[in-house]
Amino acid sequence: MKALLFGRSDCSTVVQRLGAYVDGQLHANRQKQLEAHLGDCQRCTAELQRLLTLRDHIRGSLAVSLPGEDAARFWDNVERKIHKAKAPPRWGVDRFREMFWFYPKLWWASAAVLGTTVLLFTADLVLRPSIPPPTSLAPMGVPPRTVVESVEGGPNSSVVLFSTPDQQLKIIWVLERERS
Amino acid sequence: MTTQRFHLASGWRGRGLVIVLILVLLPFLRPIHLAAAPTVVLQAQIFLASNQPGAAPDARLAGLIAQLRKAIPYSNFLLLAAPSGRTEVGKVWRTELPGGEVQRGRVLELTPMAIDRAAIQIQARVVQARIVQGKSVSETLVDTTLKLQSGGLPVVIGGPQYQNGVLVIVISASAP
Amino acid sequence: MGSTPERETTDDHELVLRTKLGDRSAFEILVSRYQDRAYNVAYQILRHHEDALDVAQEAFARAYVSIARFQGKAGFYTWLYRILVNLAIDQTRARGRHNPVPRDDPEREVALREMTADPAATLETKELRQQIARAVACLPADQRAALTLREIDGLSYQEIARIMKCSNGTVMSRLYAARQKLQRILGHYAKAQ
Repeated sequence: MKALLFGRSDCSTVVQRLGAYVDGQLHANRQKQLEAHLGDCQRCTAELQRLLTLRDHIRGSLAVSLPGEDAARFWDNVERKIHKAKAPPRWGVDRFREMFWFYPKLWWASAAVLGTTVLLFTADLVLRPSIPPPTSLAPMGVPPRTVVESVEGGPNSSVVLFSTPDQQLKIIWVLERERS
Repeated sequence: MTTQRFHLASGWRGRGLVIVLILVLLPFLRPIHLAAAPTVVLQAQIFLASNQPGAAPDARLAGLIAQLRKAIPYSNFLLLAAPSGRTEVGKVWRTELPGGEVQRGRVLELTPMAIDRAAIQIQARVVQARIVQGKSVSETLVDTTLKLQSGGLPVVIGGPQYQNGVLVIVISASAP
Repeated sequence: MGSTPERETTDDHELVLRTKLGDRSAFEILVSRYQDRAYNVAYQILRHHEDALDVAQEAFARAYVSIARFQGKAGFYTWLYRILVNLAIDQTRARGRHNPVPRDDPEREVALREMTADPAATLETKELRQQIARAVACLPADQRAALTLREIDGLSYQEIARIMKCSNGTVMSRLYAARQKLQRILGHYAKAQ
Protein backbone atom coordinates (compact mmCIF):
# COMPACT_ATOMS: atom_id res chain seq x y z
CA MET A 1 0.00 0.00 0.00
CA LYS A 2 1.43 3.29 -0.98
CA ALA A 3 1.87 5.76 1.77
CA LEU A 4 0.14 8.89 0.64
CA LEU A 5 0.77 12.22 2.34
CA PHE A 6 -1.54 13.79 -0.14
CA GLY A 7 -4.85 12.05 -0.42
CA ARG A 8 -7.16 12.35 -3.36
CA SER A 9 -8.78 15.39 -1.82
CA ASP A 10 -5.39 17.13 -1.64
CA CYS A 11 -5.01 17.65 -5.36
CA SER A 12 -5.32 21.43 -5.02
CA THR A 13 -2.42 21.41 -2.57
CA VAL A 14 -0.37 19.23 -4.88
CA VAL A 15 -1.07 21.47 -7.86
CA GLN A 16 0.13 24.47 -5.86
CA ARG A 17 3.37 22.67 -5.12
CA LEU A 18 3.98 21.41 -8.65
CA GLY A 19 5.82 24.60 -9.57
CA ALA A 20 8.25 24.19 -6.67
CA TYR A 21 8.57 20.52 -7.61
CA VAL A 22 9.61 21.17 -11.20
CA ASP A 23 11.91 23.92 -9.93
CA GLY A 24 13.58 21.41 -7.65
CA GLN A 25 12.80 23.48 -4.59
CA LEU A 26 10.92 20.96 -2.52
CA HIS A 27 12.46 19.18 0.43
CA ALA A 28 13.36 15.59 -0.26
CA ASN A 29 10.59 14.15 1.90
CA ARG A 30 7.93 16.38 0.42
CA GLN A 31 9.19 15.58 -3.05
CA LYS A 32 8.85 11.84 -2.44
CA GLN A 33 5.37 12.24 -1.11
CA LEU A 34 4.33 14.37 -4.03
CA GLU A 35 5.76 11.85 -6.48
CA ALA A 36 3.85 9.14 -4.71
CA HIS A 37 0.66 11.12 -5.20
CA LEU A 38 1.43 11.74 -8.84
CA GLY A 39 1.86 8.03 -9.36
CA ASP A 40 -1.69 7.59 -8.25
CA CYS A 41 -3.43 10.66 -9.62
CA GLN A 42 -3.95 11.16 -13.33
CA ARG A 43 -5.35 14.62 -12.92
CA CYS A 44 -2.29 15.95 -11.13
CA THR A 45 -0.01 14.13 -13.55
CA ALA A 46 -1.73 15.88 -16.46
CA GLU A 47 -1.35 19.16 -14.65
CA LEU A 48 2.37 18.45 -14.25
CA GLN A 49 2.70 17.85 -17.97
CA ARG A 50 0.97 21.12 -18.74
CA LEU A 51 3.32 22.90 -16.40
CA LEU A 52 6.40 21.33 -17.98
CA THR A 53 5.19 22.28 -21.45
CA LEU A 54 4.49 25.80 -20.30
CA ARG A 55 7.92 26.05 -18.76
CA ASP A 56 9.55 25.02 -22.00
CA HIS A 57 7.55 27.59 -23.93
CA ILE A 58 8.38 30.29 -21.39
CA ARG A 59 12.07 29.54 -21.49
CA GLY A 60 12.08 29.53 -25.22
CA SER A 61 10.41 32.89 -25.47
CA LEU A 62 11.83 34.84 -22.57
CA ALA A 63 15.47 34.73 -23.55
CA VAL A 64 16.19 38.01 -25.28
CA SER A 65 19.70 38.87 -26.33
CA LEU A 66 21.34 42.20 -26.22
CA PRO A 67 21.71 43.43 -29.80
CA GLY A 68 25.29 43.55 -31.01
CA GLU A 69 25.51 47.31 -31.28
CA ASP A 70 24.11 47.84 -27.82
CA ALA A 71 26.36 45.15 -26.39
CA ALA A 72 29.40 46.88 -27.84
CA ARG A 73 28.46 50.25 -26.37
CA PHE A 74 27.23 48.86 -23.07
CA TRP A 75 30.42 49.37 -21.08
CA ASP A 76 30.93 52.86 -22.47
CA ASN A 77 27.48 53.86 -21.33
CA VAL A 78 28.07 52.33 -17.92
CA GLU A 79 31.30 54.31 -17.62
CA ARG A 80 29.50 57.46 -18.58
CA LYS A 81 26.93 56.87 -15.86
CA ILE A 82 29.67 56.10 -13.33
CA HIS A 83 31.42 59.33 -14.20
CA LYS A 84 28.19 61.25 -13.80
CA ALA A 85 27.50 59.55 -10.49
CA LYS A 86 30.99 60.28 -9.22
CA ALA A 87 30.89 63.93 -10.22
CA PRO A 88 31.70 66.44 -7.47
CA PRO A 89 28.96 66.57 -4.93
CA ARG A 90 25.98 68.40 -6.21
CA TRP A 91 23.64 69.57 -3.59
CA GLY A 92 20.73 69.89 -5.87
CA VAL A 93 17.69 67.72 -6.10
CA ASP A 94 19.50 64.99 -8.06
CA ARG A 95 22.14 64.59 -5.40
CA PHE A 96 19.56 64.14 -2.71
CA ARG A 97 17.64 61.72 -4.86
CA GLU A 98 20.75 59.60 -5.31
CA MET A 99 21.52 59.65 -1.63
CA PHE A 100 18.04 58.68 -0.68
CA TRP A 101 17.81 56.01 -3.37
CA PHE A 102 20.55 54.01 -1.71
CA TYR A 103 18.94 54.45 1.63
CA PRO A 104 15.23 54.50 0.94
CA LYS A 105 14.56 54.22 4.62
CA LEU A 106 16.42 57.52 5.00
CA TRP A 107 13.28 59.15 3.68
CA TRP A 108 11.22 57.49 6.32
CA ALA A 109 13.76 58.25 9.03
CA SER A 110 13.85 61.90 7.98
CA ALA A 111 10.08 62.03 7.87
CA ALA A 112 9.94 60.43 11.31
CA VAL A 113 12.44 62.91 12.77
CA LEU A 114 10.62 65.84 11.20
CA GLY A 115 7.26 64.56 12.30
CA THR A 116 8.48 63.97 15.83
CA THR A 117 10.02 67.44 15.99
CA VAL A 118 6.77 69.00 14.82
CA LEU A 119 4.82 66.91 17.31
CA LEU A 120 7.12 67.88 20.17
CA PHE A 121 6.94 71.53 19.24
CA THR A 122 3.18 71.40 18.89
CA ALA A 123 2.81 69.46 22.11
CA ASP A 124 4.90 72.07 23.89
CA LEU A 125 2.62 74.82 22.70
CA VAL A 126 -0.58 72.90 23.31
CA LEU A 127 0.33 71.40 26.63
CA ARG A 128 1.86 74.52 28.06
CA PRO A 129 -0.68 75.73 30.49
CA SER A 130 -1.66 79.33 30.15
CA ILE A 131 -2.36 80.86 33.47
CA PRO A 132 -5.59 82.75 33.30
CA PRO A 133 -5.12 86.02 35.09
CA PRO A 134 -6.43 85.62 38.57
CA THR A 135 -9.82 87.29 38.52
CA SER A 136 -10.44 86.71 42.12
CA LEU A 137 -8.40 86.46 45.21
CA ALA A 138 -10.82 83.95 46.64
CA PRO A 139 -9.40 80.51 47.08
CA MET A 140 -9.29 78.76 43.75
CA GLY A 141 -9.73 75.36 45.23
CA VAL A 142 -6.17 75.54 46.50
CA PRO A 143 -5.44 76.01 50.16
CA PRO A 144 -3.80 79.42 50.62
CA ARG A 145 -0.26 78.48 51.40
CA THR A 146 1.66 81.37 49.96
CA VAL A 147 4.65 81.75 52.18
CA VAL A 148 6.87 84.78 52.38
CA GLU A 149 10.15 83.24 53.42
CA SER A 150 12.09 86.48 53.56
CA VAL A 151 11.65 90.09 52.62
CA GLU A 152 13.77 93.18 52.86
CA GLY A 153 13.75 96.68 51.52
CA GLY A 154 16.48 98.61 49.83
CA PRO A 155 18.76 101.45 50.86
CA ASN A 156 15.98 103.92 50.21
CA SER A 157 12.94 101.86 50.95
CA SER A 158 11.32 99.85 53.65
CA VAL A 159 8.75 97.11 53.41
CA VAL A 160 5.67 96.10 55.31
CA LEU A 161 4.17 92.65 55.14
CA PHE A 162 0.46 92.14 55.73
CA SER A 163 -2.48 90.09 54.58
CA THR A 164 -5.96 90.74 53.32
CA PRO A 165 -8.70 90.63 55.96
CA ASP A 166 -9.60 87.06 55.01
CA GLN A 167 -5.94 86.07 55.33
CA GLN A 168 -5.99 84.73 51.79
CA LEU A 169 -3.48 87.07 50.28
CA LYS A 170 -0.03 88.16 51.27
CA ILE A 171 0.85 91.74 50.43
CA ILE A 172 4.33 93.16 50.47
CA TRP A 173 4.16 96.93 50.60
CA VAL A 174 7.12 99.05 49.61
CA LEU A 175 7.52 102.43 51.26
CA GLU A 176 9.95 104.60 49.38
CA ARG A 177 11.77 107.15 51.51
CA GLU A 178 11.40 110.77 50.66
CA ARG A 179 14.47 111.92 48.89
CA SER A 180 15.85 115.20 49.89
CA MET B 1 14.86 57.87 -20.72
CA THR B 2 15.10 59.50 -17.39
CA THR B 3 15.17 56.79 -14.83
CA GLN B 4 12.54 57.44 -12.25
CA ARG B 5 14.74 56.61 -9.36
CA PHE B 6 12.94 57.61 -6.36
CA HIS B 7 9.86 56.05 -4.97
CA LEU B 8 8.35 56.69 -1.62
CA ALA B 9 6.36 53.53 -2.01
CA SER B 10 9.18 51.31 -0.88
CA GLY B 11 6.77 49.01 0.81
CA TRP B 12 4.51 48.91 3.76
CA ARG B 13 7.40 48.04 5.99
CA GLY B 14 8.84 51.53 5.63
CA ARG B 15 5.53 53.19 6.36
CA GLY B 16 4.86 50.87 9.25
CA LEU B 17 8.22 51.72 10.74
CA VAL B 18 7.35 55.39 10.75
CA ILE B 19 3.93 54.85 12.25
CA VAL B 20 5.31 52.61 14.96
CA LEU B 21 8.06 55.12 15.69
CA ILE B 22 5.61 57.97 16.09
CA LEU B 23 3.22 55.89 18.20
CA VAL B 24 6.05 54.79 20.46
CA LEU B 25 7.26 58.36 20.93
CA LEU B 26 3.83 59.88 21.54
CA PRO B 27 3.43 58.82 25.17
CA PHE B 28 6.80 60.27 25.96
CA LEU B 29 6.14 63.72 24.61
CA ARG B 30 5.43 65.37 27.94
CA PRO B 31 8.16 63.69 29.90
CA ILE B 32 10.58 64.52 27.15
CA HIS B 33 9.42 68.08 27.32
CA LEU B 34 9.86 68.19 31.08
CA ALA B 35 13.11 66.30 31.17
CA ALA B 36 14.73 69.00 29.13
CA ALA B 37 14.69 71.62 32.02
CA PRO B 38 12.12 72.42 34.66
CA THR B 39 10.42 75.62 33.67
CA VAL B 40 8.05 77.93 35.40
CA VAL B 41 5.40 80.09 33.84
CA LEU B 42 5.23 83.50 35.47
CA GLN B 43 2.75 86.31 35.20
CA ALA B 44 2.64 89.80 36.59
CA GLN B 45 -0.47 91.97 36.50
CA ILE B 46 0.61 95.59 36.93
CA PHE B 47 -2.03 97.99 38.25
CA LEU B 48 -1.95 101.70 38.94
CA ALA B 49 -3.73 102.18 42.23
CA SER B 50 -4.96 105.71 42.80
CA ASN B 51 -7.86 107.70 44.08
CA GLN B 52 -8.40 109.41 40.79
CA PRO B 53 -11.66 108.57 39.18
CA GLY B 54 -11.14 106.52 36.09
CA ALA B 55 -12.85 104.29 33.61
CA ALA B 56 -14.67 101.25 34.90
CA PRO B 57 -12.28 98.35 35.25
CA ASP B 58 -12.41 95.28 33.05
CA ALA B 59 -15.31 93.12 34.23
CA ARG B 60 -13.02 90.11 34.41
CA LEU B 61 -10.89 91.91 36.99
CA ALA B 62 -13.76 93.12 39.14
CA GLY B 63 -13.38 90.35 41.68
CA LEU B 64 -9.64 90.82 41.94
CA ILE B 65 -9.93 94.56 42.30
CA ALA B 66 -12.60 94.22 44.93
CA GLN B 67 -10.23 92.09 46.95
CA LEU B 68 -7.38 94.55 46.48
CA ARG B 69 -9.56 97.43 47.63
CA LYS B 70 -10.17 95.68 50.92
CA ALA B 71 -6.48 95.58 51.69
CA ILE B 72 -5.11 98.54 49.81
CA PRO B 73 -6.69 101.96 50.46
CA TYR B 74 -7.17 103.11 46.90
CA SER B 75 -10.41 103.50 45.06
CA ASN B 76 -9.27 103.00 41.51
CA PHE B 77 -7.21 100.18 40.01
CA LEU B 78 -6.19 100.50 36.44
CA LEU B 79 -4.55 97.54 34.74
CA LEU B 80 -1.48 98.89 32.96
CA ALA B 81 0.07 95.66 31.69
CA ALA B 82 -0.04 91.90 32.21
CA PRO B 83 3.25 90.50 30.98
CA SER B 84 3.89 86.78 31.26
CA GLY B 85 6.71 84.49 30.38
CA ARG B 86 8.40 81.19 30.93
CA THR B 87 11.77 80.66 32.43
CA GLU B 88 13.86 77.81 33.66
CA VAL B 89 14.54 77.27 37.33
CA GLY B 90 17.54 79.37 38.29
CA LYS B 91 17.11 81.85 35.48
CA VAL B 92 15.80 85.37 35.82
CA TRP B 93 12.68 86.61 34.14
CA ARG B 94 12.49 90.37 33.86
CA THR B 95 9.74 92.76 32.95
CA GLU B 96 9.72 96.52 32.88
CA LEU B 97 7.70 98.45 35.36
CA PRO B 98 6.46 101.95 34.71
CA GLY B 99 7.85 104.84 36.70
CA GLY B 100 11.18 105.52 38.34
CA GLU B 101 13.68 108.32 37.84
CA VAL B 102 15.19 106.81 34.75
CA GLN B 103 13.05 105.92 31.81
CA ARG B 104 12.74 102.16 31.57
CA GLY B 105 14.80 101.97 34.67
CA ARG B 106 12.37 100.11 36.87
CA VAL B 107 12.32 96.37 36.55
CA LEU B 108 10.60 93.43 38.18
CA GLU B 109 12.86 90.40 38.41
CA LEU B 110 11.45 86.98 39.17
CA THR B 111 13.75 84.00 39.61
CA PRO B 112 12.29 80.54 40.23
CA MET B 113 14.65 78.93 42.69
CA ALA B 114 13.10 75.52 43.15
CA ILE B 115 10.02 73.48 42.51
CA ASP B 116 8.88 71.26 45.33
CA ARG B 117 5.84 69.33 44.23
CA ALA B 118 3.27 72.08 43.69
CA ALA B 119 5.16 74.79 45.52
CA ILE B 120 7.43 77.11 43.62
CA GLN B 121 10.08 79.04 45.45
CA ILE B 122 10.63 82.39 43.77
CA GLN B 123 12.91 85.29 44.44
CA ALA B 124 11.19 88.52 43.53
CA ARG B 125 13.00 91.84 43.27
CA VAL B 126 11.95 95.27 42.22
CA VAL B 127 14.94 97.21 41.06
CA GLN B 128 15.06 100.75 39.81
CA ALA B 129 17.68 103.07 38.47
CA ARG B 130 18.41 106.35 40.20
CA ILE B 131 20.54 109.28 39.23
CA VAL B 132 23.21 109.81 41.83
CA GLN B 133 25.71 112.59 41.19
CA GLY B 134 24.97 112.50 37.51
CA LYS B 135 25.29 108.73 37.20
CA SER B 136 22.68 106.04 36.90
CA VAL B 137 22.75 103.73 39.86
CA SER B 138 20.63 100.63 40.27
CA GLU B 139 19.01 100.16 43.64
CA THR B 140 16.73 97.54 45.06
CA LEU B 141 13.33 98.54 46.29
CA VAL B 142 12.34 95.15 47.61
CA ASP B 143 13.92 91.74 47.65
CA THR B 144 11.75 88.85 48.79
CA THR B 145 11.75 85.08 48.64
CA LEU B 146 8.33 83.53 48.33
CA LYS B 147 6.80 80.15 48.04
CA LEU B 148 3.78 80.17 45.75
CA GLN B 149 1.47 77.32 44.99
CA SER B 150 1.59 76.35 41.36
CA GLY B 151 -1.53 77.80 39.81
CA GLY B 152 -2.64 78.92 43.22
CA LEU B 153 -3.11 82.29 44.93
CA PRO B 154 -0.81 85.08 43.86
CA VAL B 155 1.26 87.41 45.96
CA VAL B 156 1.02 91.18 45.76
CA ILE B 157 3.88 93.65 45.80
CA GLY B 158 2.76 97.23 45.94
CA GLY B 159 3.86 100.70 46.76
CA PRO B 160 6.38 102.03 44.21
CA GLN B 161 5.34 105.53 43.23
CA TYR B 162 3.93 106.11 39.78
CA GLN B 163 2.13 109.17 38.45
CA ASN B 164 -0.67 110.05 40.87
CA GLY B 165 -0.74 106.71 42.61
CA VAL B 166 1.30 103.59 43.26
CA LEU B 167 2.03 100.42 41.44
CA VAL B 168 0.39 97.20 42.58
CA ILE B 169 1.90 94.07 41.09
CA VAL B 170 0.01 90.77 41.34
CA ILE B 171 2.43 87.89 40.81
CA SER B 172 1.42 84.31 40.06
CA ALA B 173 3.32 81.25 38.98
CA SER B 174 2.74 77.82 37.62
CA ALA B 175 4.98 74.85 36.98
CA PRO B 176 3.68 72.88 33.97
CA MET C 1 25.63 30.62 -19.37
CA GLY C 2 29.17 29.60 -19.88
CA SER C 3 31.20 29.26 -16.74
CA THR C 4 30.19 27.15 -13.80
CA PRO C 5 28.64 28.95 -10.88
CA GLU C 6 31.51 28.06 -8.61
CA ARG C 7 34.16 29.40 -10.93
CA GLU C 8 32.08 32.44 -11.61
CA THR C 9 31.67 33.07 -7.92
CA THR C 10 35.36 32.75 -7.23
CA ASP C 11 36.21 35.02 -10.11
CA ASP C 12 33.51 37.44 -9.08
CA HIS C 13 34.94 37.83 -5.60
CA GLU C 14 38.38 38.52 -6.98
CA LEU C 15 37.03 40.97 -9.51
CA VAL C 16 34.99 42.73 -6.85
CA LEU C 17 38.03 43.01 -4.64
CA ARG C 18 40.07 44.49 -7.47
CA THR C 19 37.26 46.89 -8.22
CA LYS C 20 37.23 48.02 -4.62
CA LEU C 21 40.93 48.68 -4.92
CA GLY C 22 40.26 50.95 -7.87
CA ASP C 23 40.75 48.61 -10.81
CA ARG C 24 37.99 49.66 -13.15
CA SER C 25 38.98 47.08 -15.74
CA ALA C 26 38.01 44.38 -13.26
CA PHE C 27 34.56 45.87 -13.10
CA GLU C 28 34.44 45.96 -16.89
CA ILE C 29 34.89 42.20 -16.86
CA LEU C 30 32.00 41.84 -14.44
CA VAL C 31 29.89 44.02 -16.68
CA SER C 32 30.65 42.00 -19.78
CA ARG C 33 29.94 38.81 -17.84
CA TYR C 34 26.49 39.87 -16.70
CA GLN C 35 25.30 42.50 -19.14
CA ASP C 36 23.26 40.06 -21.22
CA ARG C 37 21.52 38.58 -18.22
CA ALA C 38 20.99 41.98 -16.68
CA TYR C 39 19.47 43.31 -19.87
CA ASN C 40 17.25 40.25 -20.16
CA VAL C 41 15.91 40.59 -16.64
CA ALA C 42 15.35 44.31 -17.10
CA TYR C 43 13.66 43.72 -20.43
CA GLN C 44 11.26 41.10 -19.09
CA ILE C 45 10.20 43.49 -16.36
CA LEU C 46 10.04 46.63 -18.44
CA ARG C 47 9.15 45.16 -21.83
CA HIS C 48 10.87 48.05 -23.53
CA HIS C 49 14.28 47.85 -25.14
CA GLU C 50 15.54 51.36 -24.50
CA ASP C 51 14.28 51.42 -20.94
CA ALA C 52 15.76 48.00 -20.23
CA LEU C 53 19.11 49.06 -21.64
CA ASP C 54 19.16 52.20 -19.58
CA VAL C 55 18.10 50.46 -16.39
CA ALA C 56 20.66 47.70 -16.86
CA GLN C 57 23.45 50.21 -17.39
CA GLU C 58 22.23 52.29 -14.47
CA ALA C 59 22.25 49.22 -12.25
CA PHE C 60 25.88 48.51 -13.09
CA ALA C 61 26.83 52.13 -12.53
CA ARG C 62 25.19 52.15 -9.13
CA ALA C 63 26.80 48.86 -8.27
CA TYR C 64 30.18 50.35 -9.09
CA VAL C 65 29.60 53.53 -7.14
CA SER C 66 28.48 51.60 -4.09
CA ILE C 67 30.90 48.69 -4.43
CA ALA C 68 32.38 49.51 -1.05
CA ARG C 69 29.05 48.55 0.52
CA PHE C 70 29.09 45.10 -1.05
CA GLN C 71 30.17 42.75 1.67
CA GLY C 72 30.31 39.57 -0.35
CA LYS C 73 27.83 37.61 1.74
CA ALA C 74 25.81 36.88 -1.36
CA GLY C 75 27.14 36.57 -4.88
CA PHE C 76 27.90 39.68 -6.87
CA TYR C 77 25.16 38.90 -9.37
CA THR C 78 22.61 38.51 -6.54
CA TRP C 79 23.57 41.93 -5.28
CA LEU C 80 23.56 43.39 -8.79
CA TYR C 81 20.21 41.84 -9.56
CA ARG C 82 18.75 43.34 -6.41
CA ILE C 83 19.71 46.80 -7.61
CA LEU C 84 18.52 45.98 -11.09
CA VAL C 85 15.16 44.48 -10.15
CA ASN C 86 14.37 47.32 -7.75
CA LEU C 87 15.27 49.89 -10.40
CA ALA C 88 13.19 48.15 -13.00
CA ILE C 89 10.16 47.72 -10.75
CA ASP C 90 10.44 51.34 -9.64
CA GLN C 91 10.46 52.29 -13.27
CA THR C 92 7.29 50.34 -13.98
CA ARG C 93 5.55 52.00 -11.07
CA ALA C 94 6.68 55.38 -12.27
CA ARG C 95 5.29 54.60 -15.65
CA GLY C 96 2.10 53.38 -14.01
CA ARG C 97 1.74 50.54 -16.37
CA HIS C 98 0.90 46.99 -15.60
CA ASN C 99 0.94 45.74 -19.13
CA PRO C 100 3.88 47.46 -20.67
CA VAL C 101 3.96 46.20 -24.21
CA PRO C 102 4.89 49.41 -25.90
CA ARG C 103 3.79 49.61 -29.45
CA ASP C 104 7.16 50.73 -30.61
CA ASP C 105 9.00 47.99 -28.85
CA PRO C 106 10.99 45.90 -31.25
CA GLU C 107 10.66 42.93 -28.94
CA ARG C 108 12.33 41.67 -31.94
CA GLU C 109 9.61 39.15 -31.93
CA VAL C 110 6.62 40.71 -30.42
CA ALA C 111 3.78 42.03 -32.44
CA LEU C 112 0.38 42.16 -30.99
CA ARG C 113 -1.69 39.71 -32.86
CA GLU C 114 -5.25 38.85 -32.54
CA MET C 115 -5.79 35.42 -31.23
CA THR C 116 -7.64 33.51 -33.87
CA ALA C 117 -10.77 31.84 -32.94
CA ASP C 118 -9.57 28.64 -34.38
CA PRO C 119 -5.86 28.40 -33.75
CA ALA C 120 -3.83 25.91 -35.64
CA ALA C 121 -3.05 22.69 -33.81
CA THR C 122 0.57 23.82 -33.59
CA LEU C 123 1.74 27.37 -33.87
CA GLU C 124 4.82 28.55 -35.61
CA THR C 125 7.50 29.01 -33.03
CA LYS C 126 7.59 32.70 -33.70
CA GLU C 127 3.88 33.13 -33.17
CA LEU C 128 3.99 31.05 -30.02
CA ARG C 129 6.80 33.12 -28.64
CA GLN C 130 4.90 36.25 -29.46
CA GLN C 131 1.86 34.99 -27.63
CA ILE C 132 3.90 33.99 -24.62
CA ALA C 133 5.71 37.32 -24.62
CA ARG C 134 2.37 39.09 -24.76
CA ALA C 135 1.08 36.93 -21.94
CA VAL C 136 4.16 37.62 -19.83
CA ALA C 137 3.74 41.31 -20.49
CA CYS C 138 0.30 41.06 -18.91
CA LEU C 139 1.74 39.88 -15.63
CA PRO C 140 2.44 42.26 -12.75
CA ALA C 141 6.05 43.44 -12.61
CA ASP C 142 6.97 41.42 -9.52
CA GLN C 143 5.65 38.21 -11.06
CA ARG C 144 7.51 38.92 -14.28
CA ALA C 145 10.67 39.53 -12.30
CA ALA C 146 10.32 36.28 -10.35
CA LEU C 147 9.54 34.32 -13.49
CA THR C 148 12.52 35.71 -15.37
CA LEU C 149 14.93 35.11 -12.54
CA ARG C 150 13.69 31.54 -12.23
CA GLU C 151 13.24 30.52 -15.86
CA ILE C 152 16.06 32.43 -17.52
CA ASP C 153 18.65 32.76 -14.81
CA GLY C 154 17.79 29.50 -13.12
CA LEU C 155 18.08 31.08 -9.69
CA SER C 156 16.86 29.24 -6.63
CA TYR C 157 13.89 30.48 -4.65
CA GLN C 158 16.27 31.59 -1.93
CA GLU C 159 18.35 33.63 -4.33
CA ILE C 160 15.25 35.17 -5.86
CA ALA C 161 13.94 35.96 -2.39
CA ARG C 162 17.19 37.76 -1.55
CA ILE C 163 17.10 39.74 -4.75
CA MET C 164 13.47 40.73 -4.42
CA LYS C 165 13.67 41.19 -0.66
CA CYS C 166 10.85 38.83 0.09
CA SER C 167 10.36 35.40 1.59
CA ASN C 168 10.71 32.05 -0.15
CA GLY C 169 6.99 31.59 0.25
CA THR C 170 6.34 34.84 -1.56
CA VAL C 171 8.58 33.75 -4.41
CA MET C 172 6.70 30.47 -4.62
CA SER C 173 3.33 32.16 -4.65
CA ARG C 174 4.43 34.71 -7.26
CA LEU C 175 5.69 31.98 -9.54
CA TYR C 176 2.54 29.96 -9.01
CA ALA C 177 0.34 32.94 -9.74
CA ALA C 178 2.38 33.84 -12.82
CA ARG C 179 2.22 30.33 -14.23
CA GLN C 180 -1.49 30.04 -13.55
CA LYS C 181 -2.13 33.28 -15.36
CA LEU C 182 0.01 32.28 -18.29
CA GLN C 183 -1.82 29.01 -18.57
CA ARG C 184 -5.13 30.76 -18.60
CA ILE C 185 -3.99 33.35 -21.14
CA LEU C 186 -2.31 30.86 -23.39
CA GLY C 187 -5.27 28.60 -23.16
CA HIS C 188 -4.89 25.51 -25.16
CA TYR C 189 -1.38 26.42 -26.33
CA ALA C 190 -0.04 25.14 -23.04
CA LYS C 191 -1.87 21.88 -23.18
CA ALA C 192 0.16 18.80 -23.16
CA GLN C 193 1.07 17.74 -26.66
